[in-house]
Amino acid sequence: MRASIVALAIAALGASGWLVHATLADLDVPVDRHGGAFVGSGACARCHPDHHESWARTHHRRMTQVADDETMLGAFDGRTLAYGGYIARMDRTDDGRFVVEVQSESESESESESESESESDVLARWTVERLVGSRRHQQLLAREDDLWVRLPIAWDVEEQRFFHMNGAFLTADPEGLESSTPIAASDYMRHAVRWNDNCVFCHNVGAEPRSDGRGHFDTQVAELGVACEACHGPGAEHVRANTSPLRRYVLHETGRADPSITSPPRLADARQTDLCARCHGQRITSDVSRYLAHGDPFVPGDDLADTSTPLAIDTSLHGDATAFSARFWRDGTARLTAYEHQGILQSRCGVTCGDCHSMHQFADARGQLRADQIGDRMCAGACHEELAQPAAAVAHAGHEGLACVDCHMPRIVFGIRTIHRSHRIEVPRPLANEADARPDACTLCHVDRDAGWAADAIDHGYRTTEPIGASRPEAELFGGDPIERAAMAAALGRDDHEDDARHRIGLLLTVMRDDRYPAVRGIAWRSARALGITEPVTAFTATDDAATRARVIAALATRVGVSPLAPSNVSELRARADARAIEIGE
Amino acid sequence: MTLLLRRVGWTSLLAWACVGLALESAHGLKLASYLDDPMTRQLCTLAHAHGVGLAIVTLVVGELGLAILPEARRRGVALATAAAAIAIPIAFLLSTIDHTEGDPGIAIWIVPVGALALIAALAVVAHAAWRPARAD
Repeated sequence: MRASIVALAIAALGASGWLVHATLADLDVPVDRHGGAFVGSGACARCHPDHHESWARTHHRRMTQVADDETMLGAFDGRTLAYGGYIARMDRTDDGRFVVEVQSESESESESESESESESDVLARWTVERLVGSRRHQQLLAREDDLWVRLPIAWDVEEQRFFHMNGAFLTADPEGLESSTPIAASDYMRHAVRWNDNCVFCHNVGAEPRSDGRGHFDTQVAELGVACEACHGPGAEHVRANTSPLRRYVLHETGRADPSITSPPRLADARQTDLCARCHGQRITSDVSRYLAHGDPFVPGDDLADTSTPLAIDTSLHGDATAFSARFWRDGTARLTAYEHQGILQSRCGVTCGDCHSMHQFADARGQLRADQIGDRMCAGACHEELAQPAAAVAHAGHEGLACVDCHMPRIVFGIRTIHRSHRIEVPRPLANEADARPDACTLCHVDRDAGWAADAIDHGYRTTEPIGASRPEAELFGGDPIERAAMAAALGRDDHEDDARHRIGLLLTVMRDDRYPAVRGIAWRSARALGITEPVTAFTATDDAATRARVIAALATRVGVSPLAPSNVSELRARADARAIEIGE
Repeated sequence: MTLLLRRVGWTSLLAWACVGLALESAHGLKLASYLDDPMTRQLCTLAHAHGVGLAIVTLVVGELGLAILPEARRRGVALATAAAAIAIPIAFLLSTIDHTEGDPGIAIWIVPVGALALIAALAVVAHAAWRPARAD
């Protein structure tokens, strides 16, 4: 009996040893996951509940969702949005569906008089079935045959109201809005774009547009939203392989990498950045038809450069070397969001996205900055240890209360109705920035000073006090190109500079009334409110026509006791203002 | 062997009842390191439940099971039962150490070994229960 037990134990040990050896050998075999199957985040949660829970708190998870009572943020309660001679009505049907109906204002009025509805009066009627976004804006998707269409109406999460997408991008008002006459239907639909071969790539997992090349699609996604497999790659093989407890424990105990899945922290710095760059760094490919048919061939861990190239100021499209130049400041710095990768590539810092941001260990889902790197720790706590002491940081910056990013990542990037920080981490060079017609970090706070003053201040240890060029904010606010105007309008609303708030409000009121870009007007309104205007956010709508805006601003000016201000040379500045449309790459 | 199982059973019952009290205290005192870690909570609960349950099994085997076994089988069954009653709950408890978010610590591998020993012992007892009663 005893001998048989001993023999059994020896046999069991031998078998275990052989199994462990075989498992270790299996971990050395690379797994090609290109074309691999996806399993969805639910399968990941079974073994990675903590990671699943932290990811579930991100806005990435909610990037695309099915529209229902829980996910819909917009108030579909029968409210309306008037724009360009059309009325959009957001309501629900008896069976709970979310419906957007657009008709011309005149037809809407006659309809309310006659209490009858004619289908011919309706410009468009959509049933909202999917949603995009949850943080700042929530965009609405409706199905049209085999297509999904991003509607021209969206919900502003912060302002809690609907807005027209023409006010979100850097395009001037369509013809008619300035003369307060109805705009063309095509202008109303300017930003009603196709989701199938556009938004689908970055807002979902495993997107396959399945375009037939003739405008028809059979679009499939593995999972709506930016889920686990967007960063870790297709997970079916990983799930299958790790049903073996022995394999899991060999991985746990040896710390070996699992070839069946991508673990971003194990990747080389450049490959880590590629993961994020796939969406946070607009790029171009030479094989568009492959993308449109089968989706992005990139699997996390790949070199992104194998399949695409990041857009740059001189990237050529069909022989046009200026095709994308408007998306960059003259020195090549990106000035739109979703170009963060380009900024990182241009930075001398050598950082990766994960040095500052995290998908799982973040303090705030907005921005997802790493919980252990809040404030200046991401710079002074990491590479720049000499600045870790507050006194050293103050001596370095010549200011108190500044964060590293205030000077080294200035707010010069436009991204859907707001201004963000640049991700080109750089040393402030006011004169060089001025030569490149680009705002600099110093004068975005010291808005009453110019680049010469800022350069002098830097050269003299921040001791200079002589203001130079007092008209600078007006020059950019009224005479800049759309992004310069937007950046300055945003800068005027920040409370970290010392000039007179009433003066700034006056300038902003003028922008709200007269600028031809609704996005700039909207940013100016936000800044005006930040400076102390306590009127409700609905007091001004950036997409209103010129006559309405003039009336609203006049009333607003009376109520807040500040008149719209404009410099004496405003006509000259306006003539200089750049009126081109800057495509954001939707 | 009955004495061995009696000692192991009652001592084990006392020990795992105390662990139960400790777990209740962790809930009552809102001990974050316990409450915030679902895997630890689950493993501690399993350790407590198995500890108490197997202590009772040990007592039952000692008081009733051994009596129906042939003499030659008693020692093996008693040792296997006692080993399982000690090893399984302790393995659950030890596997809270160095666990991942999806798997217990490596000590969990002791559990199936203990379970096999217990099942073997119970199988022997069950087999004996079906045999005709002996004259002795």
